[in-house]
Amino acid sequence: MSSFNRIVIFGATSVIAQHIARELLTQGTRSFVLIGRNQEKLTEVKADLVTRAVPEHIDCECLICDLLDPRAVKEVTTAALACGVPDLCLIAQGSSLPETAVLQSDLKALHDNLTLNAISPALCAEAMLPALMQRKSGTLAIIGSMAGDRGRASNYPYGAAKACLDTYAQGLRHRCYHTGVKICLIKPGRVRSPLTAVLEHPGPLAEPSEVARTVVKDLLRVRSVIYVPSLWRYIMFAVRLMPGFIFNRLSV
Amino acid sequence: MTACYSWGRLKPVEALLCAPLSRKFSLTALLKSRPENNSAHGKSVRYLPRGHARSYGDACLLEGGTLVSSLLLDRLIAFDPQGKTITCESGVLLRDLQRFLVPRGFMLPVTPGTELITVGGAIAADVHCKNHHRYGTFGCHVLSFTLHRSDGEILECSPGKNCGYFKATIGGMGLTGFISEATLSLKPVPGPMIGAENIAFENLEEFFALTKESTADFEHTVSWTDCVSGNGQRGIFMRGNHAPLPEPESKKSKSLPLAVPLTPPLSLVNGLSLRAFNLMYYAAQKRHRRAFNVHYEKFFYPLDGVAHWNRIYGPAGFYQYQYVIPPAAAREATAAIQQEISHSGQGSFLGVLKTFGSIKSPGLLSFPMEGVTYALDFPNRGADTEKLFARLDAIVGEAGGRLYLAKDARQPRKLFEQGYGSVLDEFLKYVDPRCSSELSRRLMGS
Repeated sequence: MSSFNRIVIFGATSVIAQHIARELLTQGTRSFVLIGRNQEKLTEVKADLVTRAVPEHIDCECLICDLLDPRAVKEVTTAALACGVPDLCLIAQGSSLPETAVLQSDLKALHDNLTLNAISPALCAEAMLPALMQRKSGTLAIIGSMAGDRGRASNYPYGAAKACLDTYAQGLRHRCYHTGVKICLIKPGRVRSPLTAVLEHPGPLAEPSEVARTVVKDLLRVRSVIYVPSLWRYIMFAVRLMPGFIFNRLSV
Repeated sequence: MTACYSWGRLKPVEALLCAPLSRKFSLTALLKSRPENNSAHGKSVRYLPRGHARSYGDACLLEGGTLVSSLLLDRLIAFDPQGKTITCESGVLLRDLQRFLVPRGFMLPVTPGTELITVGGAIAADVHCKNHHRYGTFGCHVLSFTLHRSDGEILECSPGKNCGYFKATIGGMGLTGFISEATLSLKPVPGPMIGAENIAFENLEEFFALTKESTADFEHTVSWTDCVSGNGQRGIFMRGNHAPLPEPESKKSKSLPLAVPLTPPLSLVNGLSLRAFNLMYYAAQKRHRRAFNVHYEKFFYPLDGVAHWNRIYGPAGFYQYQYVIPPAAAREATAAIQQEISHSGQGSFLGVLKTFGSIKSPGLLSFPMEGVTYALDFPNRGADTEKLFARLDAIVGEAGGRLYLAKDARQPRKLFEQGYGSVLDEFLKYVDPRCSSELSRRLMGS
């Protein structure tokens, strides 16, 4: 496949989603459905894509949805499918904020964070999948994280939610094996984002535009699990295998 | 609190960082949202807008303050090819903007020696280009911008509206408030290539002769000088025009392959390596005295091809010293400065020499004026470097010149007031009372 013609993005105001959408635009996508909860921010993302497409015109629809509400997710998926089944559905909602210390002391914040990062993407995947399976083609991509590969003291609530998506995607992949629908799990490392923007030296940090380039290239190659940067696949393999009595001593 | 540096990496400051997610944000609410700011014992929170932090000195630093980063505001808003304008958020890098514009037949009329700065930063530093004699500064092509103040006011600024804020913000080093978006006018270009020539010169007389000869026919002119050998006057004169040529297939711009991965324990820029580098560079250029075509990114921003190049100066960091001196005194003063540097043995790779034209910027604190400008890097050698700068300051001051605030880390207040004093009172009227930088503390008292 040379490019995706029509894409639907849940959580379209996330930094990575915006950059993936831009990269897809340069690769030929001309029909976008952007789903999120904030009208104003969605409009800004739309204006950015429409401007970048000039002199060409694109179809870009914004749909408002509370992505934590199962009923709302069902309704917005129906609306998104009204103009056609997408070639690519990207599920990008999630947040690494508030910081772990806040989540440890505020159970409501923890509840909301886990709901946004684990449950909401699962709802969107289940809502969208039947249409793709019926058409027997298409790609469903979920944004996970390397943080899900191992629980770490510094970010285990976030990591646990992303680990949930890892297994969920595995299950979907098994389910869809003979259907022609591809399931991709994207695992970025640390990307310039609202959290890392407030850290002057957050360690090796990937630019979202570079992440997007790698992701789109690997999506087109239909890779099941996309690590960004790619070499981290091997590093995380080792990290996962490390015995607890060694890992737990490290302050990472 | 995080340790934050400027590009010169001289001395970090401890500051809070925060970043708006949308251009429609409340600066007051954002400053309050950091819990550290609420427990500031009633002291007024000081803040400073921050782009890509490419200022060399202390213009982008604020000890104990809140740095408000624009880097998440990277969206385009509108593009009008007929009207030749673009509107975008202030955190868009000039590199990304140009990569969007050039394939569509446009460029920004003015960009500095690096593309890796934000639109907001370009306005705040009122950057200049190799084509200053034709196009003036970045501020000359800013049609409007939106300015957020800490008291909650959001001002639309243009030559016809809030004109005082407009003029104070251009070149105002971020001290008037946070720019969230801007509209810029564009220059049509026939393609991504530059038709360029490199000509060697032996002394300042030849430099001035080449400048006079080139100004009419060439949009872009700049020279690189060898600061170390002889009297420090020889160099290469580079001139070019936009060329109606397509980009050669094999040389399509790829992502940065070169990077300086870590800070070496001492400066790699020492007398020996410098001498060798300069001689090699000069000899190589001399062999190729001819016209050639080059991609605009290589012509304008050669150092952008080496990520983190500022690290080669080692952990002590480095200074940039850039001055402008009016035409009457320029020749003599530049010769004297080149002599001082050559004798000191503290030279740098980059001695960049250029003449500015007479196009005035709307910015009050704008640096360029008609005359000669010279920009040099110096590894930080502590007291020796400071002594050299004191001698250079004396020459610049006596010649009626001034230093570039985006590069400055240490000029004395007296020299600053001499260079910018006539506009300072007017400028201070528009400074956001809660906005400060280490630069403003050093030169303006707060």
